[in-house]
Amino acid sequence: MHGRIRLHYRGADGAREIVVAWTSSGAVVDDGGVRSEVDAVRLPDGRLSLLFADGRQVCGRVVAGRPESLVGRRGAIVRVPLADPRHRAAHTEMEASDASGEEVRALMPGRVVEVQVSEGDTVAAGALLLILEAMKMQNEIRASVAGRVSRLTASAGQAVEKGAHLVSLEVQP
Amino acid sequence: MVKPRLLVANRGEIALRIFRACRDLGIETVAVYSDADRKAPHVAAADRAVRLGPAPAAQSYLSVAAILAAAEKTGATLVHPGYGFLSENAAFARACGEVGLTFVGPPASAIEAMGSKTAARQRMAAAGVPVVPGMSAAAASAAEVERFAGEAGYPILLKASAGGGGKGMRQVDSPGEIASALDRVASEARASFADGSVYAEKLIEKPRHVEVQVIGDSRGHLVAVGERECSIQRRHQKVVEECPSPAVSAELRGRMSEAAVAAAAAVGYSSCGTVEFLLASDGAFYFLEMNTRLQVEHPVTEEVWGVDLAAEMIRVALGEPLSFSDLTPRGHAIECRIYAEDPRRGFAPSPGTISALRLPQGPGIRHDMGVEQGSVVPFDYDPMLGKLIVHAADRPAAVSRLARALEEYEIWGVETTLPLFRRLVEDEDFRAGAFDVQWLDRRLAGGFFPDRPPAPEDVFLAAVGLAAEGMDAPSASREEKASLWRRTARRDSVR
Repeated sequence: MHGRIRLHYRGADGAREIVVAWTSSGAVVDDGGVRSEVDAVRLPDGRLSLLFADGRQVCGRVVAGRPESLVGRRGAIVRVPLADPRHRAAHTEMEASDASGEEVRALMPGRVVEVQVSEGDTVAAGALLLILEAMKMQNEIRASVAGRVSRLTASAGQAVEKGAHLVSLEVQP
Repeated sequence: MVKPRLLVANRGEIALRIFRACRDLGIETVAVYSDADRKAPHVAAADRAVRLGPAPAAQSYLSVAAILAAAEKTGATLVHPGYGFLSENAAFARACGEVGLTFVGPPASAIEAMGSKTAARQRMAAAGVPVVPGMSAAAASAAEVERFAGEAGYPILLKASAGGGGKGMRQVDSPGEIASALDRVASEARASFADGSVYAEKLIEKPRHVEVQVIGDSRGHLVAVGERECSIQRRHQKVVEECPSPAVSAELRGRMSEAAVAAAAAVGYSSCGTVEFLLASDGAFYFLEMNTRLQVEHPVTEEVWGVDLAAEMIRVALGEPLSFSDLTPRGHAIECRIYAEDPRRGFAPSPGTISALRLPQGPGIRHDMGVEQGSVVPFDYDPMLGKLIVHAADRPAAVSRLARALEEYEIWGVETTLPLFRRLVEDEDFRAGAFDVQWLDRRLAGGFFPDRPPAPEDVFLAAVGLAAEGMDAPSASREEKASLWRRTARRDSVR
């Protein structure tokens, strides 16, 4: 496998470019001007094992995401502010929709217990939108932005799957 | 004699635990399941299985009629209730007996006697088991409360006689506060419970929760099998349990064991049970309640005392005597309850599909799991995925082993309480064994989960991992991306 990929790191400690180039013997990582050569293999269970020139071995699992990806290493899962390069287009779309409003989806399968808003309502940030019951716990779903309810698909008593659309808010100019 | 066949009226890890004990004993197994559990591991582990009904527990795992029908259909001779669901339901135990099934547990009368908390308290006091000192009747005057506090010592707790749920309670630290506190609790009690009577109890400050395992056979042998330390609790729910308790000496263990056996004997107990005590910082202990079943945390006792409680419980139900007389504890065991809950979001439930599961291995590591890789964690039941139990020569070694096991542990697809345990094993108080029942809640209120910034190694891994993803065919569907395992099958090296 040959090729070169540019990734944009946007962490609390600043932004920089990380370039990964594949060679016949592994990968060369250029992290903001610091170059390291690693032997990289994927283990049978999906984890990556990196072997540095000085013999250091680092092993972990990477779950690509945007705007951050997850790294599981030595039992801890940390968020790394590097985005999956395959989804740049989708990412841009998401950013646009973020600026104009909020789309609330079910984070877990459950049942809608109560809906507190109707389409066209204007709500303040933090206002209760609906109550979703999952695992016998009632979860209050609140607005994270102030806006107008532009679309409402949730109804009381309805069973919803993980990821199901519940309500959309539109920020008013 | 009819060949024994045992039905477990439960699901998850405890059903599997009991099935394993059955296999060890050569007893056939029967599973029951709801519509949410047709693919659950406990069904696949059983010789026979019967559908109970729809997912809600009331129509499945709590349906006595459906469970008895399943027992009849499969020719089961024994019924084990596990924990939760019908395990402390005297009517269920009695119903089993009435249709000729052996209930693997204590007599229904013992479940009943311990079921009423106030009646149990009086019964325990009569049997000489220490209970929290309290007034035996409602206080007629402030002077009467003062007299009681003078004997019991401050602080005391004023409680509405008809109270519950934390309402109508007030701490009193000195005689001067009694009169006004009494007025306030009485008026609160009148408003909440339409009964203004108030009594006083000694307040046990920052107690530990220490419980004693007991087991008895049908021939009158009743023994204690050491204690468990269960003070690491979140909102009164146990999170981590240990055996032995770092706060209990051999001498105290002897006294607590005697009290526990006396408590169980007072209600004619047999089978496995647990007598729970509050342990005060001065070493005094008080009866809290008795759990008349096999408990979630039984494995720590099994590891340290070298006894198979689940199998022993089945043996004594079959009329056999206890298989041991003298037991010696060995080392220290710690259990972590792994829940599908997100500790960073107030422990909100996190149901979903276990996309990847990697269990730690090596000496002194035991898993009692209710899920496998690919399992769906339904939102209808308790979200416990399983338990990690470590055993080592002493407590410091057990804590180190736990830290090591947690480094190896991976669960993907749902959020879990693993980060809580990783934080705990680094905590000075936890390492020192210096905690009480409110300790974890205080720690969590103080912000227990600072988000760790990624280390250079994490950034490096992410960069190489993402670059490898980027080299993939761009047509890879989203679903494919989500499945680490399918991707692994396609390509075993990124080179």
